[in-house]
Amino acid sequence: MKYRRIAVARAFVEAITEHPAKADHLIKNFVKFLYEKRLWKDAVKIIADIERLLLKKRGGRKILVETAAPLGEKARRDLEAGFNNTDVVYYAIEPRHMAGVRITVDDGLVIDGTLNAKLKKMFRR
Amino acid sequence: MKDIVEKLKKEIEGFKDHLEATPVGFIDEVGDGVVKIRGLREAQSQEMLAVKTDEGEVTLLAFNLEEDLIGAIALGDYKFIKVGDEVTGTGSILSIPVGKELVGRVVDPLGNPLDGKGPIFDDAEKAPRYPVERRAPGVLARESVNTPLHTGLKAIDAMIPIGRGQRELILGDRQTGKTAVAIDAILNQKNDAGRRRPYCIYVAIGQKESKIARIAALLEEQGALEYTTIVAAPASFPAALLYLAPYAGAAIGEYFMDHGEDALVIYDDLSKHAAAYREISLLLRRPPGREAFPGDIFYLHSRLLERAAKLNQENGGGSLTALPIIETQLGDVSAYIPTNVISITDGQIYIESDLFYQGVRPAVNAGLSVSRVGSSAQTKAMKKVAGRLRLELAQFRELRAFVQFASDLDPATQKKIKRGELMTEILKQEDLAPIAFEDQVVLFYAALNGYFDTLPLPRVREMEKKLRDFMEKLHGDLMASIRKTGDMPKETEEKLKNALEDFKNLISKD
Repeated sequence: MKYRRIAVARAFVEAITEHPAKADHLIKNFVKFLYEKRLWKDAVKIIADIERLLLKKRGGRKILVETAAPLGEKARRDLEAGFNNTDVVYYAIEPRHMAGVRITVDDGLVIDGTLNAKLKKMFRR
Repeated sequence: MKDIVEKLKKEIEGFKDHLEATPVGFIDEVGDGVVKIRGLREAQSQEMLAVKTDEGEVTLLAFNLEEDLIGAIALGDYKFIKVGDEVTGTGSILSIPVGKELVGRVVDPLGNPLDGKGPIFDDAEKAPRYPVERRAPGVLARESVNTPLHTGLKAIDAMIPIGRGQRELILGDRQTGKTAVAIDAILNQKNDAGRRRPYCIYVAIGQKESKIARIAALLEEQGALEYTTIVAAPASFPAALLYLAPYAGAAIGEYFMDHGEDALVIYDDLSKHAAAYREISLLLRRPPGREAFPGDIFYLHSRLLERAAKLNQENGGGSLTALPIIETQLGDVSAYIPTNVISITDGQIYIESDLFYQGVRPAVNAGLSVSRVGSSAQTKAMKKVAGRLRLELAQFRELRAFVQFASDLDPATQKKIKRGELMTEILKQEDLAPIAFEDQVVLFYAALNGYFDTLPLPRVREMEKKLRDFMEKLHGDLMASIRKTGDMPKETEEKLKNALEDFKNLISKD
């Protein structure tokens, strides 16, 4: 039987939340399970789902901050001050943005303040 | 150049941008025209989504709203969609531009022209748009079917009459003349003078492109394309477009219905439509049911066919008649899809391959065919003359087994068999030769009242032609009166009797 990705991720999250002390053992078994059930090719996506579910359980969000150039320490601190402590912030460099910042929240909401987006909007007008 | 720079400067100075949070999603899986999207939690079912690919934007249609993913079908070229591409919602449900401009055109299910005749609308942005999926008119907006829709086929107009707003299924095996019946119905609309001419929409689902091209050329050649739109979703199109085609056809028809006009839509055919929907459903991992069709296959066709209606006068009095076509396998009408559609429609015209190969064309099986509501729309004249036809043919079918011993039978039985053979011959008709209803009335009157009884069967077709010529040339006023009133009162009947006596005398001299 082929298991749905989300079901596998949810089962692992529940197991690890119920038995945090057995984390090593659970992870080892989980990897074995993925291999045996031929879910290995979906491993990256399942891990992303696990991450999202764990974050949600903690009341946090996954924040992706994309900029054209690397941000300095101060800029990062200022930016993170706007998020909750439970949020996990990832940074990525994306030169096509040219300038500005693009923030993606939980893979479902985007605040696009990049020059690229502004130019596109202006030309659409 | 300086002007342009100045203008651009002003644009840039005046540009105000408000940062706002936009819901987005990301492609999680893609393949076979079906994509899975992560995110976009507020997307609606049937909403159009746009995915930004390296080669431009591709439109998707949200189909399955699942707990963690959205299953969508690609309406454009899905080969460029990659995992991780960003998807945005458009907030609008799938719709197509509609209007009289579509008449005479061949379009795809999204309303794009396929006939190379250029853009359809002067300003496509301003053209009215109708949603492809729309709720059928309610009970209060409707009235019962009361106006005939003549197909020009004697067997149908006499025994299985169709009314405007009715849903009449045409079913039969492959290559038995189902499409020909539908095409004749379109062609006959230009013969049916004295009534509002319906706009016709021919929806070709999963057919060969050569066949669609042939039908378009034929309609054009016969002058029928001037009131017809062809919605083409040939076999080479993705299943998503095959699935959408009949709904697009219905939307075009609804535009005319809402504007107080009559429309006739032909779905050729719903078997292929069901197969396309099964393909999409299986790719989206919906649970398969009987014959691997998904559980909502009945609803798929019922919500489409329920959109055919006759609106009451308060709602404009328009109508949308539907002629769905179903292909049976070896005459099996009890298969899943045929029984579903039979139960949805207001009757069926069963085309039988045995009859077809015996040379009875159109090969309508009068015993299995029925029109549940059309008789109330049949003209009085036709009702008067053809009322006995069904009964006589039924009696003939009962006695047909004895045809080979005809000489040993009593005269009354012999007469019934002879009359049955005559009527079977009369009901035969060539392709693409629909006959105006007044001609049919005269012909049936003559045949059922014994004017052709002495004729040998091989001469019936020739006499039929002669009678039509005779009536048209010498009794044009009589024909015009039947056409205009749709009735045959006593005095008209007397005149017709006299005309038929004259004709009988004339042919007896031949």
